[in-house]
Amino acid sequence: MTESLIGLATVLVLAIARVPLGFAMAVVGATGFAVLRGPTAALETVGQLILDFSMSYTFAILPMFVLMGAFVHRSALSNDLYETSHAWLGHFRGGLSMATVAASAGFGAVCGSSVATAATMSRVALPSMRRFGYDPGLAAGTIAAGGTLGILIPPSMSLVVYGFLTQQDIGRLFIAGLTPGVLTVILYFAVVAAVTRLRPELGPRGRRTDWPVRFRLLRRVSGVLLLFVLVLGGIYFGVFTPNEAGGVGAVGACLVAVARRHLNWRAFVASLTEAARTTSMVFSVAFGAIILSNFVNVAGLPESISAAIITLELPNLGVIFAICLVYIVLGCMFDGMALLFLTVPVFAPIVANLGYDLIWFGIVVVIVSEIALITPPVGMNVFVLKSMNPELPLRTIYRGIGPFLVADLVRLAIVVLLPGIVLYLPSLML
Amino acid sequence: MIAPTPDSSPEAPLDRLLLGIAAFVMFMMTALTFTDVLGRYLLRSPLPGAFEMIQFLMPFLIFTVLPVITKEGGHITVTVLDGLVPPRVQWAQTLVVQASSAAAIALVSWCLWAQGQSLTEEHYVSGYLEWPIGPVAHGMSILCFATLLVQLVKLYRHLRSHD
Repeated sequence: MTESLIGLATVLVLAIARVPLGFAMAVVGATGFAVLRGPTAALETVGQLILDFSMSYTFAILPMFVLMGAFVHRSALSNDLYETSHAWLGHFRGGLSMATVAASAGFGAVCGSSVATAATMSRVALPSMRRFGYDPGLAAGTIAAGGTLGILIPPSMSLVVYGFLTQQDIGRLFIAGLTPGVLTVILYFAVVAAVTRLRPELGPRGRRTDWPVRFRLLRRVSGVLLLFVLVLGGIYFGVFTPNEAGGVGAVGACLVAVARRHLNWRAFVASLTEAARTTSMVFSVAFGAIILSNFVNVAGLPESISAAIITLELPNLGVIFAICLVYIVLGCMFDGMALLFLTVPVFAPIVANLGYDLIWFGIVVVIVSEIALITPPVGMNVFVLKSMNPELPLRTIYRGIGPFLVADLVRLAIVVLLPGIVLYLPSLML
Repeated sequence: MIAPTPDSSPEAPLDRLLLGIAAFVMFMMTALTFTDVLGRYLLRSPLPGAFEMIQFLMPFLIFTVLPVITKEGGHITVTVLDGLVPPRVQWAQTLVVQASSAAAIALVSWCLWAQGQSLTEEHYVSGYLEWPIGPVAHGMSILCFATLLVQLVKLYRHLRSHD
């Protein structure tokens, strides 16, 4: 156990010193394994793990969904999504913020990345909120928080990665994300309603849109809806495996982009390379994570912690809350993806030993990594927003995020205390 | 990290070649998956071996762009200390980063080569198509070695930058 604690501490130091996360984990994991089992065994294991992991069919799902997101991004569907949400919600107090949340959820339903969702919405929704005199903090907070929906509402890169690390069924994980995703949208709506009720000047009402226009706009986004239903419905009813759903989704998104005349040859190739790049980046960290977790498991860390929990007679729920607390603290320092890779190999076996469902824990982990995306000092969504709008002070963005963070903590508590919310839909799957 | 890349950016010819190969591999994987599904539902005959072909393509999708990502410094990194490190320490910090990156890449390249050797000696083949697996590990190792060269050039340049 001592070896693994030293190892984990070394990884943390190297990572914070800016050594690429995957490299830090790979070097420490391999060295640790060599100390325990000898250098020959370590060399063999590392080669074997990386080859097996690269050649696994299950993990080919990641590039498919990334490609789908890349096509969706280029098809400029986000404009229509926002315009439609605006038409339906804009006349409420804070309606444009609500429209941003709704459009983010819609975009998240066809794109698995929070950063991409926040980047897209920042371009689409921010100018309009400014024009209508919205408070910059509220506007920025809505985009940063709404953007996190990208990884909760399936398809989701984070759920795929969690599935890699814990060997859980990715289809079930996707379906499990649906209800919490809807819950998030409702809570974020409530936040906007509450904030603008207290201070109406932050989010003035917009014009009311006529019903025929609303329905006409709704038809324009039917492509997104169709794609989502095709992919998720296909997984849910067992028509496609998750991998096949990814392939169908990617081709579908490509067709949508072509039909909307937003995909020329160059953009087509760029989408393909983008998917390859993202896959390569995620896998280089994943390699490190499996090498490290292999070492940590051989060194017996999860068992030692589980044993300690049993001897100390800690209540299960207390352990889960402690884990969530660790996640929130670490999440301030690490970006969501880094957080997943560093912690899941250590925590998942402990949680499983306590008798919890790992599908449920996956959703908990995604929710805490969503929080990590918007907490200072390191919040990727905030950085994206800042880099695209340099004139927005970081302080304003974080101030705007505050109320949404409260909603996130409420949501985390609900999901932890009522696992049924997460597990009901997957339990109906065949 | 998933921030979209611009559709046209100036890249060296070698980068463009690697990215082009990766794009082609990505296209093939999607086409295989889609054809397989289509074949199964419309023609009642899935594409034989599509599953294994995708397995053989995956390592190349991952490793072909690795030299480009390394050159651009695009790996997933923790940035919590950025802006807090005093300029005098930065040079040493970068040295640690570059050197340990090189060590990690060299390690992986070496392990994959050894894996390829033992798989080739045992004439290890895939279950359905019976394609040999050893060369895949060798290919991954070679691409990793190319990445190592890129990383060593970066390390060398960094050492030279110290006056």
